[in-house]
Amino acid sequence: MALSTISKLPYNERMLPNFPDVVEARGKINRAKIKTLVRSKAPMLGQIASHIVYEGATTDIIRDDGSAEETPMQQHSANIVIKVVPISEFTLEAVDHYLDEIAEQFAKSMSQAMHETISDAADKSGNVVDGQGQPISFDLLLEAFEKIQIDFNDDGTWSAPSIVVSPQQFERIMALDKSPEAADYKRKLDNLIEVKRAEYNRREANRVLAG
Amino acid sequence: MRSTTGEKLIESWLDKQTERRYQPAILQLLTAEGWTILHNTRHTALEYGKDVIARDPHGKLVAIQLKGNPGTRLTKSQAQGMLPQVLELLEVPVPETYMLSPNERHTAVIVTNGEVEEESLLEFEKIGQRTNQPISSADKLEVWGRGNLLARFRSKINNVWPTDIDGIRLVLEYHAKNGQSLVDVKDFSELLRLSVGVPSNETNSPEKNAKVASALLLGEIIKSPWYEAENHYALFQISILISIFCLRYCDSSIRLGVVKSYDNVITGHCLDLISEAQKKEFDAERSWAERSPLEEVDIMKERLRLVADVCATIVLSRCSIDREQSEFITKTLRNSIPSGSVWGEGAIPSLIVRYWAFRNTDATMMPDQLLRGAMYALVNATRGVPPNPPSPYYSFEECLYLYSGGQIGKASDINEDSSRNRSWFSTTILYLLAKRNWKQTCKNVWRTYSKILHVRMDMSVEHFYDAKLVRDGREITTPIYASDWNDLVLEAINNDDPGFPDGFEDRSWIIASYIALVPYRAWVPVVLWLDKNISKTWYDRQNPPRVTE
Repeated sequence: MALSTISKLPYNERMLPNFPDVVEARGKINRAKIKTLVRSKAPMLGQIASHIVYEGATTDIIRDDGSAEETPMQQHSANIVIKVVPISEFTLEAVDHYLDEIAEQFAKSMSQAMHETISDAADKSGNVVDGQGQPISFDLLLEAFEKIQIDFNDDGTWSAPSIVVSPQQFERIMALDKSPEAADYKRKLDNLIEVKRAEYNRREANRVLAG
Repeated sequence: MRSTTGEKLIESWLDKQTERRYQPAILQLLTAEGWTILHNTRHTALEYGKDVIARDPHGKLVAIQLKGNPGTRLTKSQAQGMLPQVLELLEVPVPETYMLSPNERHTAVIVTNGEVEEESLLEFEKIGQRTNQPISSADKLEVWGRGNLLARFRSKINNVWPTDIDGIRLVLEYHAKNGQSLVDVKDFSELLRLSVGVPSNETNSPEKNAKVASALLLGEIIKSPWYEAENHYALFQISILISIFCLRYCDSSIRLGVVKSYDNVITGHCLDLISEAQKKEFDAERSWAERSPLEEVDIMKERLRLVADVCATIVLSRCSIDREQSEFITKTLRNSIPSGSVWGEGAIPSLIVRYWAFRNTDATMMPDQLLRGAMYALVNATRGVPPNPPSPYYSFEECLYLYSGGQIGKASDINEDSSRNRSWFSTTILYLLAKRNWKQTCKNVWRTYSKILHVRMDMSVEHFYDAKLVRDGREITTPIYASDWNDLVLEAINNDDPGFPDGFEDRSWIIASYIALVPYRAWVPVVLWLDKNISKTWYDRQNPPRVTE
C-alpha cells in the first residue's frame, strides 16, 4: 500500500517557520484516517490480511506442482486539487473532506486491482463460471462453489468464501434466499460441503514427511 | 581554549563554512577584537572586490575579501584565478565616505577558511608587490588563512566557553541540530547562562566587554545549523535572545554600542525571511503551505503569526525597506491580528507587538479596533467553557496538545493546569485601551473582566534578560471588583518603569521582539514602558486625565 509514503519526505530546503514534529504527527493521523476510510469504503480490502514487502520488486507464489505465479506490485495514488481559501476556512473539517476524497480514489483503484488480480488468477486456472448474461441463480452459485478449493478450520468448521456482487445481484440473492427453492439449495450446498470436506481431508492426509 | 572539545567544535564549524556563511562570524570576531565595521556586503553582490570594510583597533582602514575553502586548501591555481578580484581589492579605492582623508590608503586582506599552500602565498606576495606602486589604493596585502582564523576564534570563544559538562553538552547539542526546528527559548537561555554567564558585582569592565563581544561571536557559531538550513526565523530568534541576554552587561555606552552593532544582523535575518516569503508567494490572507496543506493545517495560522512577528520587528526597527516589502508587511500584519489566531496567553504579547507595528503603518482606527476585539475575545475565552487560554508559560505546541486531546503537539503538564477565570494579559490590554481613551470599551468589558483573577509576576529585572525559569520573586493574583476610569488611566500611564537603565529606549524594538518570543517576560511595566516608547497615546504622563470634582 502506497499510503505510508505520502508526504514523508523531510523538510530539508529553505523554509518559512515550521513545526516539523506537528506536521509529521498530523501526517501520521491523516494517513491512519485514510486507511480507515479506505476500509470502510471497500470492506473487502479490510478482510484481506496485509503484509509489507520490505525488499524486492515483486512477490511470487511457487506452488506444490512447481507452477509459479507472480503477484505484481502496483502503485496506487490519488490526485486531489486543494483550493487556496481564506486561512480561517482551511480547517480540520476541510482537511477531512480532502482525506475522504483521497480515500475514495484509493478504495476504487485498490478494489479494481484486487478484482483484476482475482479475475486473472481465475482465468489462468480455468475456475470461471460464465453466467452468459443470465441472472444469478442457485445453480450458478453451486457451480462456482464446486470449482473452488475450500479449506476447513482445524476444528472442522467451514469459513464461507466471500462473494463480491453488484447491488442488483445482491438484491437478487436476497430474493433467492426467501424463495421456495432455498431449502433445496441449502441441502445441495450441505452435500457439496461434505464433498469438499472429503477432498480437504484427502489433501491433509498427504501432508506427511515420508521416508 | 580550555577544552579540546571546544577546539574541535570551532575547527569543525570553520571547516564547513562557505564564504557567505562565515562572514557574519568574521564580523563579530573583528568587533570582539575592537575593530569598527564600516560596511559589509552580506546582502549584496561583491562590491569592488571588498566584502567588508573596517577600521582596525589602531584606526587603520582595511578592506577584506572573503574566500570559502571549507575543509580544503587554497591552491596555487585558485590563487592565480583570484588575480582579477585581488587587483580590484588593491587598486580600487574604498568609497570616500569611509575615508578619513582624501586618498587614504587601505590594507587589503584576503581571508580564507582553508589552509593556504606555500605556492599560493608566493603568488599573493608577488601580487602584493603592486602595493609599492602609487597607482595602488592599498598599501599592504595580507592573507589570513585557517590557522590565523582558528587562533583568533579560539581566543575570543575562550571567554564564553562553558566550564561544566551541562554547558558543553548543550553547546554540542546545538551544534549538531539539523536547523529545521525553531529554537527552544528556555534551552537556549540555559546555554547562554552556562557559557556567557551573568555578571556579578565583581565582574570588571574589561571582563564585561569581552563577554559581550564573545557572546555575539559564539552566537554566530551556534547559529551554524540554522544558517545551513536557511531557517531565517530561528536565526532571528537566536539573535534576539543573545542581544537581550547581553543587555544585562550594558551598564556602559561602550558595551551598549557593541550590542547595537548587532542590530543589522537581526534586521538582516528579518529581511531574509520576508524576502523568502515574498519569493514563495506566502499569502497572509489565504491558506498557504510549504509543501502539504493537509499536514500543515495545524500550523498555518501560527506560521502567519511568526512571519508577522518578524514584520513587526522590521517596522519597529525603522530599518529601510522598499515599497514591495512595505506592502507585504502591512498586509501580513493586518491579517495576523484578528483574535482567531490566539491559542493562549502566550500569543498575546506577540499580538500587542504586532498591534504596535500595524498602528505605525495604518493611521486608521483599524488597529485599535483589532485590539478591542482581542480584549473581548480574551476575557470571554477566559470565562468560557474549558479549555481556556493557557498561561504564557505554555508554547504553541503545548497548547495544541491540549486542544487536540493529546493527539498532536508537545506533551506537558498543561492538562493539569487550569486557566479558567485566570488571565495574565487582559489587564495589560485594558491599560493599552485606557491610554487610548477607549473609555466605553473599558466600561463595557469591565463586568466580565472584573470576574477574572488577574495574575502577574513580581520579579527582579535581572531575570528579564533570559527565558530561564527561576524560583525567585512571586506570582501575584489579584481579584478586581470596582474601579474608577481616572484611576485606571493613571495606573496605565504611571506603571511604566520596569527598572531598565537609561539608554535602553532605542532597544525598544528588540525588547518588543523579545517579549513576543518569551511571553512570560511581558511584565506589565515592560509592556507599558514599550508602549510609551513605541506608540503615541491619548493619555500619557504629560497628558493625564483631568480630574473632575
